[in-house]
Amino acid sequence: MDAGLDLQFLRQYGVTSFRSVRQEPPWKVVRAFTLESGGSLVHLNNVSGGVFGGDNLKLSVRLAPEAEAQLTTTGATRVYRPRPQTAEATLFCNFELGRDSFLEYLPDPLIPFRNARIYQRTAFSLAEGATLFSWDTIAPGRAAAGEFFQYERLKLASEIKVAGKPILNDRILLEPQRWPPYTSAIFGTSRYLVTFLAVRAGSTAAELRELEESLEAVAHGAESDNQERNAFWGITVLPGHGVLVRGMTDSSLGIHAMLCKFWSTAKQLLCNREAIAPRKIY
Amino acid sequence: MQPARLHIAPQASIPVAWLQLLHLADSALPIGALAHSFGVETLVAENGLSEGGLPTFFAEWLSGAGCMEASFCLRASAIGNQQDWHSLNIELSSFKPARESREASLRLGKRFLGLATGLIQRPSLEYRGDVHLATAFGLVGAALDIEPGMVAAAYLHQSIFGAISACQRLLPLGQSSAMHLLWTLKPGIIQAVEAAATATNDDLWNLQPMLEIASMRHPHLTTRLFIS
Repeated sequence: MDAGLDLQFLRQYGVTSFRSVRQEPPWKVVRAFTLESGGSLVHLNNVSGGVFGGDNLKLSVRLAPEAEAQLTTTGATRVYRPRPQTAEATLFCNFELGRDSFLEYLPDPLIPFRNARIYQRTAFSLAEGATLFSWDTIAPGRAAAGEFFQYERLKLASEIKVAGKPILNDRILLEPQRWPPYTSAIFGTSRYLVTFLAVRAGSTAAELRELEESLEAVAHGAESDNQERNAFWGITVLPGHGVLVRGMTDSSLGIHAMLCKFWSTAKQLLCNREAIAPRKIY
Repeated sequence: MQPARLHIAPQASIPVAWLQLLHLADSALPIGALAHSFGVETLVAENGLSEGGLPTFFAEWLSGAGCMEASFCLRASAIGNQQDWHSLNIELSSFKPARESREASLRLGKRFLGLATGLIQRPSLEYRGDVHLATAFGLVGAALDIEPGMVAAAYLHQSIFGAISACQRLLPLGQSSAMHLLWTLKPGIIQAVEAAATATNDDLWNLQPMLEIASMRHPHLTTRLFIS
């Protein structure tokens, strides 16, 4: 199924309003909630419950200058088992952040079922002064059913451009049958892949190093407290404008709490604002 | 007893550029490559990379990051102006999220290009700005008029040689085993270059996310032999 969802956010009189330009099933957006900051919170629904083999799903989000949006999903993105001959599913998400705009993209985890194959590409384009916080969690499969790394192929691309210049081309290919995941350079003893991004176009090198050090303190604190003894967190300054946190854990239990800590720390440092998790049931 | 007559090809069929490529691809080239492990040191310390896992590790690397590096080496051979050169190196930086590995690649690239410029003295090498080792290698190969595929293969060969050398200092890996490993990886090097020859950015993938994390964690290892 080919389906698109186009959303636009516009700031007027201190409040961000949102408009759904195109909305094709299974995409569904019901309404927006106004945040205390004047931003707009939108829940992305997938009424089919997930991604089927051969699906081509596109999400396009545009933030006008100074607009502020928080986007989340209503549940995990399940990538269902496809028919053998079905084409690879695609989930392409494209975000354009206008000057001094602000986006928090906080989706629930992606869960690839047995034999699933999907290309997930998430691209962010930031204009001067724009700010982005985003996270992403990739599960090994239906863990509660004991299904680990039974998917066929995950292609996970994250791209960030600031003022047209690339600062991140993160492209991970996971093919458990071809490249067994438990080798030391792929997953080791871990099962979950976690990413957090904090980017503000125009950040100085000194600001980014301070942010990197603060996020490292969060990770090391958790590791030394034994909360995350089987987790590996890495923090790095990107070639400019932002910081990437990448983690691998053997359990999903602590992931959300860690992501919230990273987000809270980064938002406080970059924007001097509190991170408030989107209104929904976790 | 008369010595057997040796048949030596005419001088034209043994281009001096081939020897120059061997020279520049030597792991002993004084650019500081031996001081970097690009995250391997952390993998050994924290993630249990052992000598038995090295063939798989390098096969994964060649199919992923190695192919990406070769692709940029090949692209550099076709660069014709400062703006394209600048864009190419910025783009390659975006494929290297881990700061330590990215900065190591930039440092080595700068030293390599500086050394090669002094040796070769061609105007085509006088580009400014950030330069990665892979792109510097491709640029220098083009200046020597060597077939780009051979240059990319030589680049990957010296990269793996350097990594195996790092493994010898980190693991109980003897000389014979190390040389056997490098020998068996040569077909994989050729495959990586062949894949890179037609690759666009959409075809380039990292197969080793834990290696990337290992590079990010490297500055915090208690004891370190390597800069990266």
